[in-house]
Amino acid sequence: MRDFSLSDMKKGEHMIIEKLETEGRLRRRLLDMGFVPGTRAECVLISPFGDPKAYLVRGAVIALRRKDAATVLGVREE
Amino acid sequence: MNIGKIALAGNPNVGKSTVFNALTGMKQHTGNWSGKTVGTAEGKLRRKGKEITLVDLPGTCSLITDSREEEITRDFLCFEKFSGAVIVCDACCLERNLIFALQAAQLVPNVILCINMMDDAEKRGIEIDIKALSEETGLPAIGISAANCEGLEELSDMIFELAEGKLKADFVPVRYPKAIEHAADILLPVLREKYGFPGVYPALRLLENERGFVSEFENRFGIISGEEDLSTALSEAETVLAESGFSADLPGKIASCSAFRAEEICLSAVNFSKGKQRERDAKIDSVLTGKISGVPIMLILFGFIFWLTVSGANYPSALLSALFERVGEVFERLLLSVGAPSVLRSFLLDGIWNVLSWVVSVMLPPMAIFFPLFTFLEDIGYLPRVAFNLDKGFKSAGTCGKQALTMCMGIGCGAVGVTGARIIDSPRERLIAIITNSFVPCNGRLPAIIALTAMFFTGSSVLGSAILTMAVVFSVLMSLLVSKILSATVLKGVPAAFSIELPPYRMPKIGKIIVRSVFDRTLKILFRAVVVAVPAGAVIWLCSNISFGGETVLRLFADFLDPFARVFGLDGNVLSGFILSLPANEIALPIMAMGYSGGGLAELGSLSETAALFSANGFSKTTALCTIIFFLFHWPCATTIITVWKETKSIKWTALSVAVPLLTGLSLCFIINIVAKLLMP
Repeated sequence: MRDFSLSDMKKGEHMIIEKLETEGRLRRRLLDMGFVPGTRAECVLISPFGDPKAYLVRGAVIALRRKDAATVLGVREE
Repeated sequence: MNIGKIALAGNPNVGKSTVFNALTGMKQHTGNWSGKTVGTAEGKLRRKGKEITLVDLPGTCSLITDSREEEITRDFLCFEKFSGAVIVCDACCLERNLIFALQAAQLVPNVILCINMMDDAEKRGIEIDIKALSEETGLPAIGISAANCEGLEELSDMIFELAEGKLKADFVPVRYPKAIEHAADILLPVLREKYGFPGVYPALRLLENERGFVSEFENRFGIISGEEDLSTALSEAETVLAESGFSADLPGKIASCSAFRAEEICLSAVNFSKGKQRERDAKIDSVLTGKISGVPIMLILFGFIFWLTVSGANYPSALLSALFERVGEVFERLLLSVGAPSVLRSFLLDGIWNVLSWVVSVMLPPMAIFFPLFTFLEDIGYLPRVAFNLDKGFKSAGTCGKQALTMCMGIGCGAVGVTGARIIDSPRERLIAIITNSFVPCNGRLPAIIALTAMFFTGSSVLGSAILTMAVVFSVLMSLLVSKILSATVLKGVPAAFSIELPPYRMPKIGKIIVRSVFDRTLKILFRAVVVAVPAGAVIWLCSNISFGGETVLRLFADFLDPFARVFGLDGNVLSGFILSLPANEIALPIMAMGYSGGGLAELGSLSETAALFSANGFSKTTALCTIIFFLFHWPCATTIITVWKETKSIKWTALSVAVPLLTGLSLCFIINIVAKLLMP
């Protein structure tokens, strides 16, 4: 299941990041926050209007919009 | 004797400024979101005749950046001369903070790891073994709780030892795939000998061809292609990478190594076994950012703050006003006793003293209530949640949720909001936030809006604060609308990618909040207002006392503006009040009162007396509404305009930040006036 992305996660779900298709400045930012292949991410919050969602990655909670989160691909952890 | 310069750096939100203040005894504003330290602050650390300069650098997510706020930190750490650095980390999210610390240690050989908020971590069941951390990283490390002043003595001991060269760091380097290390090794000697870079960091950035670093490097040393040794080494290194197939996505590979190194360090130094780290935060967040509860709670919270501000300010305001009156009487007797002429007495008392006392007694109480409450929300970590909750709305206006934060800062003070816009990464969105910043009523305007509301629409403070909340919500909606219009016209573009960190909730330190909000914000702003009020009072007194053909200058000016002002539901006196209060919005209302009364402010007493004075001069409910709207949307005060110029260095954007709110205000007032005429002919 390659096409699963951060944005597909529901609250409380986990995934292992495999690939970043993010571009530009945000790509760099995500890398520096430790969004690298092999990293575990958990969806911990969803904003009242459904977007953005917030993800727990390496001990920090980072909010990303759906469009941006959709570029972080990986495998869902059951 | 100054024995060196030590930099203080770290991710945003790690309590860096608290550490800085605690060490240097300076009162720099700290807050629970990024963008608090704008520019660098310097302080001194003294001991036994020795002195160290401590430089507080803005918090950054990373050293690899092209955002303005973060550049300051990168440029300092990469290119300035200093003896060492203290990297402050938050004990609650150590792993993420270590990624930054590793970057810094690859750049600066002398680094102390300072793990802050150990008390918080302990409460969350996170145990950090400082000794293991130090052994694993090879860096001297210390655990502190800056807000409780725990561990600061030891930290400052270490800083002195570091500056004196007694404390050595023996950084365990981050390992990279062989090809990358080989390529970096080719660059290292040139970078070390010719450019004085001790660490591996510059080599990695050159290999990645990272834009921000390369352009600053070329700024300082000339273009790389013109630097013979370096460009030769660089092309050799690039060949090594290409031959082993490491050229593709080099930044990703390098970042992975740091991230996993940070994870490895944490595995040996942090014990999460008690495992309840996020439970409490998750619970609070499910309410404060909940689907149903998130937005209403936010509105109620801000409404409650306004209510407290409005209702709580009345009594101390009256008290202060009475106090000023007493002192004024003493002054008057004093002036009489030395035989001062009546013109001078009037100038000093009716002009300067009255404006001054108005500004202080009207401004001080609401600010002294508002700022501690606001700082409280900031301190516990609520404000980034506001950005999180509202981002979708801002996105549809072509900007981002961080604008909600600059707006919040703008309520405190417009100039602060404009500077605070540096937290927004996208230059386009930052400009929009700057231009629309004065749409939210700042503290200088809130009291006037509150006073007008109380005078003409409601006497009760509950209703008053409800109306005030509505006014602020309306101003937020207007700024969204205008942001959208700007996004579609002069600042065309789609919202850039957006990320915001939601920091752990913190227990507020009430004492610190009060000290900080009163001294840093309230008194600072009050002082500025007073500085402006004195000359403004003088000018206004002159305007209302120098006459041509039997009419005062103020009256002539008001009469001249009157026909124009009436088109917008205002009158000449109100408009001249707005114009004369350009230095500070606080004095707008007293100038208007002065214009109506035809003399000094001596007659200006309670709200009901002021209301009667206004009404007697034909100030109707429509005028009141238009004046309130114009208070919400006219031009930023002079200080803010100057700040916009400083931030944008552009006449165009500065002019727009004046014109956009002005046109908005004029259009709204025009419409209100017409509707009111139709409804009540």
